[in-house]
Amino acid sequence: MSNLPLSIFFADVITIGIGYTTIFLLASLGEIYAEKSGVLNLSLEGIMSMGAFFGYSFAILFNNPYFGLLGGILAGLLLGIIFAYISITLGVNQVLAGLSIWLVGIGISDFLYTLTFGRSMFLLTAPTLKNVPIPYLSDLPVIGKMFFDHTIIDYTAYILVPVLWYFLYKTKTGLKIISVGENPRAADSVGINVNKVRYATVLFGSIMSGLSGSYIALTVGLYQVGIIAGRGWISIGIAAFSGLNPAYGLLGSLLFGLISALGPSFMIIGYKIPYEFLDITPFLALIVVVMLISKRMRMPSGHGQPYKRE
Amino acid sequence: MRYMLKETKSDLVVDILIYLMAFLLAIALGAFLIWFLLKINPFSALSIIVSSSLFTPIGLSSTFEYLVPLTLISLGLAISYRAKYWNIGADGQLIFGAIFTMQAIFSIKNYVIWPGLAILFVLIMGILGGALYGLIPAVLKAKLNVNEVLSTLMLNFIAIYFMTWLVDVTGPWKDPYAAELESYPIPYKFYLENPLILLSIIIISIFLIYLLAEKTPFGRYLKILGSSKNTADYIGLNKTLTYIYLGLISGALSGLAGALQILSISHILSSDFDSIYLGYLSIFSTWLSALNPLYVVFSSLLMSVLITGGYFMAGIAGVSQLFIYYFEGVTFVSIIVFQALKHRFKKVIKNE
Repeated sequence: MSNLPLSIFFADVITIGIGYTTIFLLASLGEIYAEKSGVLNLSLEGIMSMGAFFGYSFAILFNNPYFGLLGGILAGLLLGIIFAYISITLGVNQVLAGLSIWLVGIGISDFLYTLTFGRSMFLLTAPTLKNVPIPYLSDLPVIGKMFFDHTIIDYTAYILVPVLWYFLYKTKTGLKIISVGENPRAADSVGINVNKVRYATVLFGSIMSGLSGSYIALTVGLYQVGIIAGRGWISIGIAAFSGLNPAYGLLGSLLFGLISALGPSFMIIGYKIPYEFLDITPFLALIVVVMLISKRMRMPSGHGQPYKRE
Repeated sequence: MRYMLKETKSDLVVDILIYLMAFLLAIALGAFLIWFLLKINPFSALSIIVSSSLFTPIGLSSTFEYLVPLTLISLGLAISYRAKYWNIGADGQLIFGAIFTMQAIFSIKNYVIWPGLAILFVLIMGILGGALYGLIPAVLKAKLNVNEVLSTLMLNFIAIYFMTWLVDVTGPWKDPYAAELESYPIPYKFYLENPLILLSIIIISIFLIYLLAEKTPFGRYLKILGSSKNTADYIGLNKTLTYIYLGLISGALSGLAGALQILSISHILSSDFDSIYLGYLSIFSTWLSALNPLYVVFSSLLMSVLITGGYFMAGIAGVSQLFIYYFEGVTFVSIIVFQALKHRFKKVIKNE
């Protein structure tokens, strides 16, 4: 009998944690690609906020959560183009460009929300993404519910890990991306269009984080001011933690997804702990982990440097 | 060296023209949404921003309130960025400065004999708090090669949540009679509201940082480290020590800003103590100052005008104060775009 709350607790941590992992995974996979080609995109938090707002409003307008996902992708593309233009074409410092797009994203989404849906007397709920149980597997006792009863986006995110890993390391295009990040000048001299590759990866990354933002809004069916709550920044941290390898990106996302799930799970079993401490844990864990692996961590040589042809 | 000289010799008129254009574009873009949604004319929006923030007593004092912390933080960031030490953790350092200040006040409030000395002590504790918190990413970078962008970002969140816990219902500093998440107020004898004192603190800081950056060997090291790490290695520059000094100095200035924020403006620590992210905004004012300590005060003034004017505009338009983020973001984007396009503009203007 005394074991019951504990087993419920672990089941909760895993079930909730897998959802959180998806959020981190989508955003950090995109960021890994952008950084691999040498562009540090610090605007994920803003893009995700915009994605969440677009996802929420599209889902309400079309009364369909899948249109919401489309909205998230659109939001990511929109801000991604602005960020790419500033940081790649104009060659502005990437930290500065990223932070300003972060402000724009946060600002526009919250501002638009307070002007539109926020003015409504009632809390409008958007249709949420439905769980799609995998036949047979989801009927398995205990683990069936934990692992095989999630939304289509969750499955997609996990499937994307091997796909993106293979694409990055085993295909010609992936090697182009790596070479652009490692030595843009050399890549240019063999005829690779450096800025074109960077545009592609940055836009891919932005779309992924827009999708991740809309996933956040569409799992709860709500948008609220500050809904992303720092998860964009954690995704950037996970990308750094992974050493820009999609496989380790999954590991990092799982780690931080499960850590983030501790808070709500404690709440479900009614264990009282100041929630700020739970909120702090992923950030603290990230610093400690990055400290531990920093000796072995290596960023591409062209990382953070805008490329100008001479 | 010749390259750097060529960079700094710029056409002042063209620069001002470009900033003006960027500013107008930003206002137009910011006002566009307002106009589109609320039917307020962009030109009146512009006049609201300038007149309210500079020519009304409330607006002017509010502009000054933002000017003090923005200038102090930007000074520290300016010398850090000269060495390409991307400290973006001024928010965390500001908050820890404020926390140390509050702790110092709570500890000594019953033993104060001479208030001036007590305030000085409290300010020094704030500086210490910021400096210690700024030291962490510097040591991580120097010793373990941890990217400072990442570590300072994470430390910001840790500081914000830690501060929220301090003033939360279960926290030690929560004022049980306050409805919001607020700490006990500080005693009246610790108030430091004289604008002349604040102004002289700013001027002294600008002067000191200017001397440090331009007239000492340390300032030259920063430029060398910023222009080429290989050169820095070649001349035997101690990078570890340089990063640690930078972390301490920029942290100390942010901590001072946090302490002054407590003593002169908020008088309490609350969960929205740094809700407009003064640290992140300082990054932009630092950048606009072209990393020159003497220009920092002007770019900070521009930023303060934007913030105050934005608040007024939000109030008049009846939109939430989140409008500020949107407005600032759009302003920065257009200013950095114009700055990046400067060379092309110069060509166009000179051809005429």
